[in-house]
Amino acid sequence: MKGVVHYFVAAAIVSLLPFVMELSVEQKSLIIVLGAIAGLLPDYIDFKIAKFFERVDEEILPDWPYPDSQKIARKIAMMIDESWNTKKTLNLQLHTIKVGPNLWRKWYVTFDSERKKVKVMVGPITTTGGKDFPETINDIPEELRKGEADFNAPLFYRYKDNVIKMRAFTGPMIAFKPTEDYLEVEFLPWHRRWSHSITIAAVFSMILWVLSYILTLDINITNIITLAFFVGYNTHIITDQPGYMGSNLFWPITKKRIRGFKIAESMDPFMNFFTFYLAIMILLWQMNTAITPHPIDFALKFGSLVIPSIISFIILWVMLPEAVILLLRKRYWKPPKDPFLEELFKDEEEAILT
Amino acid sequence: MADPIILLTYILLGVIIGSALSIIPSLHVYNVAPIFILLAPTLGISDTYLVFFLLGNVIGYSMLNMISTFYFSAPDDTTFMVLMPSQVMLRDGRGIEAVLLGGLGALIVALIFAAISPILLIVIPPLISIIIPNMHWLIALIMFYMLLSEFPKDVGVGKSRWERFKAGWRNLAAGYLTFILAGILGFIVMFGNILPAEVAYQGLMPAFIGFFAVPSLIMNFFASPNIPEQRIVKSLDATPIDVFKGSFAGFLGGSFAATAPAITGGMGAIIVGQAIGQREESQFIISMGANRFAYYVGSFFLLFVPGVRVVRGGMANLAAMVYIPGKYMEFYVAAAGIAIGGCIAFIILILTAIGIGKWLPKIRYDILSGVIMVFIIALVYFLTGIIGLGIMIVATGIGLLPVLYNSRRLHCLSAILLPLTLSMTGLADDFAAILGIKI
Repeated sequence: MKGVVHYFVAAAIVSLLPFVMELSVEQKSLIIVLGAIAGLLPDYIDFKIAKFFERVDEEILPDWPYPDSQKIARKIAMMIDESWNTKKTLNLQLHTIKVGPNLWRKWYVTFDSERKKVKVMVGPITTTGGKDFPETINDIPEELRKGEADFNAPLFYRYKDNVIKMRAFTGPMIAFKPTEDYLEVEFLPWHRRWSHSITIAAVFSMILWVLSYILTLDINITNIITLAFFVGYNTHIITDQPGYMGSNLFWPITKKRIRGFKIAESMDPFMNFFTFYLAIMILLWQMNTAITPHPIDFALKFGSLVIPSIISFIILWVMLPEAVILLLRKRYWKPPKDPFLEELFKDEEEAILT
Repeated sequence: MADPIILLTYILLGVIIGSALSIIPSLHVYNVAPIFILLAPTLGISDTYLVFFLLGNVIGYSMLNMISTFYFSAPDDTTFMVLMPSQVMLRDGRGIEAVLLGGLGALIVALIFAAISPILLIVIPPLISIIIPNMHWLIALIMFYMLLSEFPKDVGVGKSRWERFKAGWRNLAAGYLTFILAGILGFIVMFGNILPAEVAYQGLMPAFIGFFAVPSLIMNFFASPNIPEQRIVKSLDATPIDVFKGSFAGFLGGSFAATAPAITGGMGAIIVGQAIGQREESQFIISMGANRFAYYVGSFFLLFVPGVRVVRGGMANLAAMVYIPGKYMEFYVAAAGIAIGGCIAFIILILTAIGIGKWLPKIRYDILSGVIMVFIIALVYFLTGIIGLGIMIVATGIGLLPVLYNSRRLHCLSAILLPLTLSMTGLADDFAAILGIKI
């Protein structure tokens, strides 16, 4: 899920906790905001702290103005074998190519575990917003456009479409992690590790409990603040789980990320909006019920038949619009497809066909 | 009782005059409105007609100010986000197209407002009743999201972890510093009684010009870009899905900002844009046009809802001094005026975008930026005096931080958000004591 969705979902779930709305409306408390901040915290830790402090063993900064794909592929292949031979985890930081204030040159890396090849391709110029300029692929001399190199290690990589895309802003980091039987490629090794664990949520909450008690000397307020933080933090971890990457849920007890349910990817706009809308509706309901008399009566009256507020709200204001969003998703949403990747996989398809 | 035809005529007159004024870079109709309010009694214009004229001004401004943003890089707090893609389009000779994409978004929202006006009558009063008791935490919720959601731009190249951390945190730290400084400045301007009473209502105007318009003009002055010939387009580079998604996002973001106090169009656009995963350039520009129209016109339109007194935005604050809504006829005339005025403003936008667009390659941007700067300084001095000028200079220093360090300019909006949050949660006195000011 996107940051904004995590944030509002955490706010919505925290607003459902006992006494939270009363405190917010009557005491002018910002407890919902605390819960929402907690809901943003796991990614804040990863993207603003952890990623900078992850060890970098090698960096790939493509040549300017023409990146040499072959050279890059060789470098990655050497690193794969080095990691496997030395049985040492190696982290590789891949950098993006900025070509203008709002323009980037795309490039891709993919691993062919069967044929033990790493492939690199340089793509077209794209805008930060993702609009490609296909003709710019011809700026790159033919011999530099695609490259591949062999490695010997038994490599295992399976994340989404198996292609690492370098596009805009910051490039990703990948880790080569040797196990007993194979060398695993881990995408963004610093992400969703300890920060996305329920155990760390509990540790942070305990620290907050102590701080809050020292500051307020009120056990009830302290408990509510701590609970709001704990719940807000965990909504992030839970709402990440339907995606692909998963999280290391019980770090340090568990050592690896537990795979996601692969229901929807984090960039799926419809699922993001679906969840965002649900959060807004929960907040609307909570804000309405916290005021007496309630400004909006959602109950429906047909003569003597009265449909209670909660039922009509859920059906008319939540389920119906959500069903429309899901229908629109079914009709219109396709995972973003990169036409330039077809060229990267062309040889592979030809090899399979022959 | 006011004649609907005369009311409509006043709206259209307001659209034409508002459109003409809005082409002048950095001139906000909110700053000119007090002059109209002062002149109206002398010209024998009744308060009701004056308010409809001001509605026309806002419609014209929301549409035509795109020229100022897209061609002259003089944005306000709702349009600064569109600067980057619009400048790229301008340098590709697609400036006219960029302006028209934004205008299209605004036009669609104008028609939506007219279509949903009966629903607004039902929805707005209870919605406002819900928002008011929850306002303090809603504003804080938005404020902290703006603060915490910015991402580092780069991890930097280099082996040392600290080198990478420093490179990544350059823009984040600049953003946080901008937020703190803008918040303090806003607090002092709002609660410090530093402006003379007669211009106090204009308090944040010099700050906002300093935050958003002047830094862009300074950058333009030094960069002095050469603008190529602008192509006159027969069709726009946007699919129906782009138009729908862009208008929808802009409408939602702008309407949210129009309804919630202290939230401006820029913040609404960011939240909704991220929630629906908006990425494509044309879609983004359409949504920005839709967003600013929904925000400016929507917030003023709420003033016409009978039975409740919803005062949102600078123009509504001015108009509320002379107008109390009460008649359904006036509400529906305002709705019709938004649709008709929006169409007329769009036609004016097309003609102006082409007219000025043709002339752009001949413009010396350094000279133009200098002239606009002199005009702005004169305007701020005329409207708010020497203290206002001082506020503008300080705000310019703060507004340059995100420009130079590539962080979010949106942090400047802390000038509104921080003082209001502190005030609503009862912490304003404590904060004033820390700053050593009396409120």
